[in-house]
Amino acid sequence: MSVLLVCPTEREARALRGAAAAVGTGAACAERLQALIREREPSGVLILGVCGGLDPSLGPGGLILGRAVLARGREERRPSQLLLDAARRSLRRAGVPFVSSRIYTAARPIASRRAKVKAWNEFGAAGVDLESYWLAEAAERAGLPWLVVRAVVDPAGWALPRSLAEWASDADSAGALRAAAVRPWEWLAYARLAAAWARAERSLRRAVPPLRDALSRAPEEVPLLAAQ
Amino acid sequence: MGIPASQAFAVATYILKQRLRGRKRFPLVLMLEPLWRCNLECAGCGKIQHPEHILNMRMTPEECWAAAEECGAPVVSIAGGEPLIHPEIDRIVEGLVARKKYVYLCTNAILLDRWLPKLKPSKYLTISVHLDGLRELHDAMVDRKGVFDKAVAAIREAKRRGFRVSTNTTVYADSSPEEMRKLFNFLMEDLKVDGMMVSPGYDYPKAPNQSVFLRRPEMIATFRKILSFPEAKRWRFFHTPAFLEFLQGKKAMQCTAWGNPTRTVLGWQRPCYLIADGYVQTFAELIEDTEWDRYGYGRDARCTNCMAHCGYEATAVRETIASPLEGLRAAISTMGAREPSG
Repeated sequence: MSVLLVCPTEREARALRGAAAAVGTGAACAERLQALIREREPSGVLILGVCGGLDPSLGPGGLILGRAVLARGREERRPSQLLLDAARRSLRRAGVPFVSSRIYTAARPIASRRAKVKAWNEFGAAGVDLESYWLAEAAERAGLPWLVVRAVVDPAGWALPRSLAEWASDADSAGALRAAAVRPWEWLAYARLAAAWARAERSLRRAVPPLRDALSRAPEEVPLLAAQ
Repeated sequence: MGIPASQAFAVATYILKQRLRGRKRFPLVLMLEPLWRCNLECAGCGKIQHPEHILNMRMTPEECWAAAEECGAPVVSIAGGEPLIHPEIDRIVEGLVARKKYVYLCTNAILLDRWLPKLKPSKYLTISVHLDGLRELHDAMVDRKGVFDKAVAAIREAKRRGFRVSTNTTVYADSSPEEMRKLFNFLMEDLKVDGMMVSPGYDYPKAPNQSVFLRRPEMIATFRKILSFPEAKRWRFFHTPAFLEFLQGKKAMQCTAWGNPTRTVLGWQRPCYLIADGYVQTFAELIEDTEWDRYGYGRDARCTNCMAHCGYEATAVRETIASPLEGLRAAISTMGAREPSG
């Protein structure tokens, strides 16, 4: 049974040491995932990546196993409850700290602390990203079980530097860095983000084996559990 | 915050000690429910729907004291059910005060006049009277006429006898901001209570009337209105400024369920005062074996509309201790709080 691991950016793919395919950011990532599903015919999809933190109890590297994904004006999507429970057990067995919560997929990064508080109150999502909802929807459309796990880079109490607030894809990274280069007052924030990114990468790498295990067992175990 | 400086200092010292000992999870307030039997059936209560044989169960004073010692929290809130139905409530309170626990005796006050002569005023004891509105609203919420007047008379008598008296108000869908404004003005200016507690109602699935509960966005809007009245600055709440900001949606917080562990007639209730996913027999089991990260806003559907102080005030207190600025705001807010003798 093969599990397809996907993440939004090349940088995240490198962090996962080539285990995941980069599918891009925003709603367009769904088309890339559909193409990969046709090409590789996986038995399940594991969506990985970093995110912004909304749950104030999560620090840099805090791992969120998505119990639901949501996007504004869209119907909430949930992975199979049995699969989610299996993933929880698997992570616990592996000693990987995590919370199981909702993940909100926004159209653009939520950059300010005030906007994060507002999104937290409105959606009750522990993290915010730009892709999980669209990827989960694409997996569901292909009839595949899916799980999503995200690691926090910028916690709820941090504001993103202004030069990153409009970031939308890999293509914007060079522009953001150029903008940051002439804003020395943002350098400290970038240094802090770089350290947080490293922690998020480590969390994701630890989560991959137990989650892949849970997903790869899904086709045989889920019907068995459901029959009980 | 409104609580006396001595109590604030005791709690702060306790938290710092726990941190120095490296304890990750430690209780702040023991929610003690020595019985679930009540003499009212309030519209928004989810505590009293147990079978008769469970409603007949009571914790002994010794069990109550042992629970307080086992858990170690500096504050004990005696709830229920109606604690004043317990025939040995005076002994329970006396034993907890002797152990230097800050005791909040929560009551609907129907039986308070009978117990006042048997209780002793102390800086460790606060009588916390449940009042959800002025006469008409309160009597409607508790589903009995005359309870408001009885409670008001009992508060006056308790104050006359030198007790520290606070009130506990649950805000429901029918609690208009204007009604709450009048209530809080009445409590502070007319009854001159020492402090007030306020919390949105928790949507207990078993509550007799499900239409009384607010959803989270409505709670935030309601509290913004209530706390934006000009006289709100004069109201003395037994809450941290951070918790009041959280109620208004100005501050993000996650629940600290283990901050207010609940001991009931069936044992230690998992995970919190409002959700009962089972009972364990020791406090250590509760703290060590509960999957705490599974609960909280966003994590469990039952927590979606919960902004109750029993979950979030512990978060606010921890943040207050951790942040010098929050600590200063809280310290300022204790000024003017009455320090009862005893």
